[in-house]
Amino acid sequence: MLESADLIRRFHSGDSGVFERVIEEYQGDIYTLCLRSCGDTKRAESLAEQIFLAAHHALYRLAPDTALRQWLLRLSIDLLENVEQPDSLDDPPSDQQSVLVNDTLQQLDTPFRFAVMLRDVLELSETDVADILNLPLGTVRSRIHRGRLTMARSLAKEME
Amino acid sequence: MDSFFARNRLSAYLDRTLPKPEAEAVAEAVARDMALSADLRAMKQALTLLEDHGRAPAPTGFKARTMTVVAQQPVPGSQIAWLQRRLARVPTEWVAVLGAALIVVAALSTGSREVKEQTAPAVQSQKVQPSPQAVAIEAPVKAQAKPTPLPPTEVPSVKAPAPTPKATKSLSNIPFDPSTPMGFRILHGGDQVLYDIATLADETGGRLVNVHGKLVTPHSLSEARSFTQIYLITPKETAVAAHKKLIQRSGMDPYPLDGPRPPLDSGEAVFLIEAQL
Repeated sequence: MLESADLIRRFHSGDSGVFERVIEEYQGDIYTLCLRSCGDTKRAESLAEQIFLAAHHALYRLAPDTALRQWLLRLSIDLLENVEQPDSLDDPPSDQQSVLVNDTLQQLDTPFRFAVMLRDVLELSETDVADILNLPLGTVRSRIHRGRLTMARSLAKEME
Repeated sequence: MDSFFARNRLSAYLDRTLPKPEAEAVAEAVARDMALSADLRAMKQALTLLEDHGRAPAPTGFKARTMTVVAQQPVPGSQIAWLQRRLARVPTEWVAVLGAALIVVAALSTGSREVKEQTAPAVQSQKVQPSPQAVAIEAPVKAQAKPTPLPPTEVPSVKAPAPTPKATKSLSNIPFDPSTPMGFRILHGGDQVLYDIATLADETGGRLVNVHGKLVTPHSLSEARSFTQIYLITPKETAVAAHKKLIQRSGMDPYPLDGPRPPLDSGEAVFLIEAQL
């Protein structure tokens, strides 16, 4: 696995193939974030594609010491913040557990949902979540806690 | 520990980030309070669900499809960066001289092509003796085509060739229909790009909104927030002007907008603008 700095440097030096490595490395993170934000598989794919496209345009300006994963996630959040929740889903996930995850996360307001997704789905540290969301650590901890509690209660109600 | 305080520490308790005495106090409170214990159980259940099923693998072929779209993009950042880095090593005066030379060469070649295109029909319609000026201008074309006499009336247009940038030509030919929303990409817009767009919105009597139709206040872009998506809503009467200005600002072909869009009144048109630092 290549380090962020290597990927960025190679991209800067004109190695066009390296972006394929970037997609390969981070497509899971980005697609997950998109799917859990919009709930629809087709739409999630299209959003993830837009994010990588935006990343491709912006990557050449990126300092090589930037943490690529965090930067990509920040870019994704910027884009996903404005995504409207559809009234109905055209292509929900086929897996029941995945649908349950979506439904549970949909109970949360957007700021709480992002905090929980980054922390508990993508398993980032609280510090990294704070960095990505550009928020103080205390605010992030509070959002994660409140998000988890809301989600837990809604899930418990559903299981009754 | 009071149940209220213990509840506020459940998350940290599950993450095992509490100091030992505090963690013990939470455990005691949980053992004492049934509601707190139920919250803890439910939270554990939710976290297990997210941990086991939260991640979703990207669909098969996603990478290849995305690479295809990326490859179709007109401005690959890496090449620009490559050029910028190399140009940064060359003295500015040299770059200026080289640029000027390129413009002259481009202008001459465009002029020659125009002469060639314009002379052919002229010869068919009127047989006129070649003027010395025309012959002089035709000289560079000789190697490619048979010299053709040029009537004196054709000379002024040759004297002032107006090279049009290829991109502008193709962009201005795109028909615009205010009822078909378009998306624009502004790459390398600079940190003040949103203020530029806000000025454009003022000039066209429009407003900047997010996807929910809520007004957006312009802000500076930075490395941390280098990308933004906003919508410009204008009256249909000024939509053509807005479209033209956006094309100029973007420098790229717009694309049909088929994604979400903010709510509109009947007399309004919408544009999506994706702006980058």
